[in-house]
Amino acid sequence: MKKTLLILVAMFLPHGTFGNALPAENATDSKKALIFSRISRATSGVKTLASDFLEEKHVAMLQEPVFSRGRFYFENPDRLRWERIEPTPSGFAIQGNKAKRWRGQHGEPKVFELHEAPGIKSFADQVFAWVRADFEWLERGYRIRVVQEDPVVLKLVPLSSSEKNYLNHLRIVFASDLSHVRIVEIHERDGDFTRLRFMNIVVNGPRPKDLF
Amino acid sequence: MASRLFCFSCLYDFFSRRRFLLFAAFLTILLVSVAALRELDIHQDIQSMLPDDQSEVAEDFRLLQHAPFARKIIINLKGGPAATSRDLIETADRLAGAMTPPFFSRTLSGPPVIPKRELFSWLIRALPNLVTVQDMEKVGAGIHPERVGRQLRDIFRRIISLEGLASKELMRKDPLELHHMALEKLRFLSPVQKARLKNDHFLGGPKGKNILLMADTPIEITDSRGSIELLKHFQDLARATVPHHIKVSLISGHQYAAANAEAVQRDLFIVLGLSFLAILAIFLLHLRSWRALFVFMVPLSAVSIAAVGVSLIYTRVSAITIGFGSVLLGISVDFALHVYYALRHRARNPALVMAEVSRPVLFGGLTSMAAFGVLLFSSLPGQRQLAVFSMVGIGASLLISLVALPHLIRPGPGSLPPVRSRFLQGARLPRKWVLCGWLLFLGLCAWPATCIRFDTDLRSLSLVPAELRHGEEEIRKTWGDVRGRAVIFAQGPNLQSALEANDRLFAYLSQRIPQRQITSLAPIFPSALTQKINSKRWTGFWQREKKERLRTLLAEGGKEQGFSPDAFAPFFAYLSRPPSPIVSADLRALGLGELLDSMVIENEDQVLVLTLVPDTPEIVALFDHPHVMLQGVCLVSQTRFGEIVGKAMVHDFLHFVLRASLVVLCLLGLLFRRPGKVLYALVPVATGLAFMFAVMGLFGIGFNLFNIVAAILIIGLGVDYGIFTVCKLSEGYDHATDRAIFVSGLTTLAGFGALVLARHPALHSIGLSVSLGVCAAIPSALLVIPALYQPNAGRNAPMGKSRR
Repeated sequence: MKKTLLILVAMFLPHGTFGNALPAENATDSKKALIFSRISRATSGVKTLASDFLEEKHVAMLQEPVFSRGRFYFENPDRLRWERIEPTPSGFAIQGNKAKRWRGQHGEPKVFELHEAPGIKSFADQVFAWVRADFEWLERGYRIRVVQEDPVVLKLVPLSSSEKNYLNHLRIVFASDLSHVRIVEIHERDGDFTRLRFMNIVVNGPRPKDLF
Repeated sequence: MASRLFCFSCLYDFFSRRRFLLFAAFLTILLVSVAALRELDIHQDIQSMLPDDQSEVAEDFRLLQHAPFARKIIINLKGGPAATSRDLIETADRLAGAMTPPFFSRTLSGPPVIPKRELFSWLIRALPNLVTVQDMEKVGAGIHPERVGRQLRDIFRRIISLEGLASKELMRKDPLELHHMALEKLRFLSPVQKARLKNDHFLGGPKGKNILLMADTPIEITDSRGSIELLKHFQDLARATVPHHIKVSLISGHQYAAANAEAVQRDLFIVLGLSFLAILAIFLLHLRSWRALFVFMVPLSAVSIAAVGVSLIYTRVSAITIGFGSVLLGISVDFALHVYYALRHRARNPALVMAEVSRPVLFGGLTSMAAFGVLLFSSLPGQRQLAVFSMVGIGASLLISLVALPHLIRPGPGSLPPVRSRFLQGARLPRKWVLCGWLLFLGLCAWPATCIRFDTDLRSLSLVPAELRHGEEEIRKTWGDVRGRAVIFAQGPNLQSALEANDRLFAYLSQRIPQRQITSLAPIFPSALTQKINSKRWTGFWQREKKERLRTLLAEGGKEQGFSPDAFAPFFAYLSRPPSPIVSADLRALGLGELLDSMVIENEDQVLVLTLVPDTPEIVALFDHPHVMLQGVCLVSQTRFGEIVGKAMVHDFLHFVLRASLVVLCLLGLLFRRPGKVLYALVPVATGLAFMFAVMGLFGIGFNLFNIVAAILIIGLGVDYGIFTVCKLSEGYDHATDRAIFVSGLTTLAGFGALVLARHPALHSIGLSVSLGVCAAIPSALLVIPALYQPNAGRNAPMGKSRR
């Protein structure tokens, strides 16, 4: 069930407001629809999901790329935990409308209502949209193009002007059998980029206590 | 020989042969007036009770209208225990979305939403023009290895988080987060003191269970009918959009207008109904004739004619004029009553009776008209309109009573019902007793009368229902005194000079009160002159030495953290660029245009920049004395406005009473031509006023704007009673004057006594004070003047008939 890893893609879609839906592009629509349909099938039946991630950041401000390691948990329909372990422990957890965030290994979590942190809310909304395979909703925020079919590579270009200010596009690379996402790349306007690799995926496995 | 006016006798003779013509003429005038009433453009706004001249009161009132919250509707949503802030925000958005034209032009649930990226970029750009000496000291303290190191660690943490995506550019441009200083200055633009922002909404109160909405409406707060419709529409919207566990409170001037208009309408219905019944009962008891109906018709006709008369002079007729005027015209029945009693008392030649009675009736009417006439000099258009209405009404009443009514009353003996009252039958109390009692009464009135206080609080003239007061208190507790803050206007012939005055004002206030209490444009939009000084300070600070020191600190600290050598190159490029000045277009581009318009008022020849501060005596006192930093600055506050209104009220009262007294004295002099008689005629006035002041002083009832009208009314009524009594005593004829005074006094009391039951403070106040005055004036006219009167006081007193 590794293909359900697709939902991870959503986590790296930067938050922002969404513009109007794009007009249909007839030539590519049928191909895209087919891939979306396969993704929909792959994501159905996911109740819980856990994964490790490795993040590499290539930022011109920094002399060397920065590597981070962390773990991600999801539980249908509205629970999410994003936890960076190295180099600086930090993260957040969402449960319905409630959320908490922390900084440092023993940092006291700060509880808040999800709508009070629009960035995290937008992030969560997108994750949940991917879980439901709600491409209609995603396409309101991004122009999605199939760059490559085998393995499937999607390119997401933001539509909102606020996101366009700093984000150029997202590149999502799937496993060749479409069973899971291998890489998510966030390309910024100034040439900096972030690459995320996912590993050790557990779908519908037992959930550790007190995660959310 | 009694003084007579034979013109009315002649008129009676003339029309007695042409009654059809007379009745036809009067009926035509009356019918035309009644028909014209339907076309009357009556306005229920209170604009007419606001000064319209060039006085300080008028100027302050006009300036108060510019206060940002003067015309706004403030709505508070208070969540119950079960309500979350999300519920509140969603409800507020739903309600705001439903508040659309024509009743609402705009609804805000928070400050203007400015994209953070644009805002921060602008703040960095604007900062050199805004920095103060204290700001630069803080910047200097920040150029320290430890602080720079801490800042770099924080930047690194943010860069590797999701946050870094959107804010990386800002961190390169401003590694020391200097834009926070400019951000702090934006706080000075918030007109709501106790609000905190959550999702671009104003949240406040304990646990953030309150949310604030502010709405604009095209409906004027002085438009009571529009206000009633607006509030009803809002209640419907609130019912449809707000769940039961969230309580809605609203405050705005419209609520006061609506509450007062409804109270006046309800009061007038009750008061007019009660006074009508009371007057009918008095007529039945004392007149007992169907012809008394004609007497009853006189004031009704006079009201119609007066209303039409006013509409010919003023395009907008105030409902207050019609309402109060109708009550005031209750006095016009007095003239008809005197004519009625004179004609019905004995079977005499009506022409002769008219010659005798017309003189006191005419002068009684003229003194009342003159007393009201002084209100023509008032700065309140409503009072001027009231004067015109009363003068036209009294004039019409005099004309009807002296010309038409005599032809409708059949003279004859025994036509009046028997009198049971002893003093109305002619019995008199011993003179000494009466005089001692009167002097004792005046002496007792003297002390409490001196304790009277002038009630200058304009709010005490309006009805403030308990729920409205409670709602206002709740909003004040939750959000601070949003509506009641003092407004300071920095003035200048152009924007720059007004901004310069505003800068001086801000500096003056900052040295004297906590800055958090000030809402001002000065910190974020100073004048070009101040911007130039600030920019010079900024560039002077970043001299080569400081800049290089910071560059070294960032380079060394950055190297440790792994930053590239040119990570903060944009920051140093920014420091090297000459600052560009802030102009109003910058603020508009940022989305602050509306806020700018609410704080900068540009007229043809003047620009006003507003500053808001708490309306406390301590702050208001800061503006009592001229100060070099307060040049071109003017403070307007409810407290100060109340003081000015109070002073104006005392000034108006003294002037009106003085003028009314002078005019009345002149008319009395013309009528009696003897100082003694003039003084006798003034006995009811003095007694009535003394009693009114004494009771008001004793019970702590404040003397307000409407009591000025009441005092003038007592002068007018009291002098009428005096004239009739002195005429009767000095000229020796008997027209059942005492009974006429007594009955007319009772009818006046019926009218004004009913007003005491009114809920509206203004109606209640005028009813109470006039009733008190008339209560004392009638016995003084009937008992004291005869006791005081000496036959030789008037040379023209007829021998043997001068006293009864």
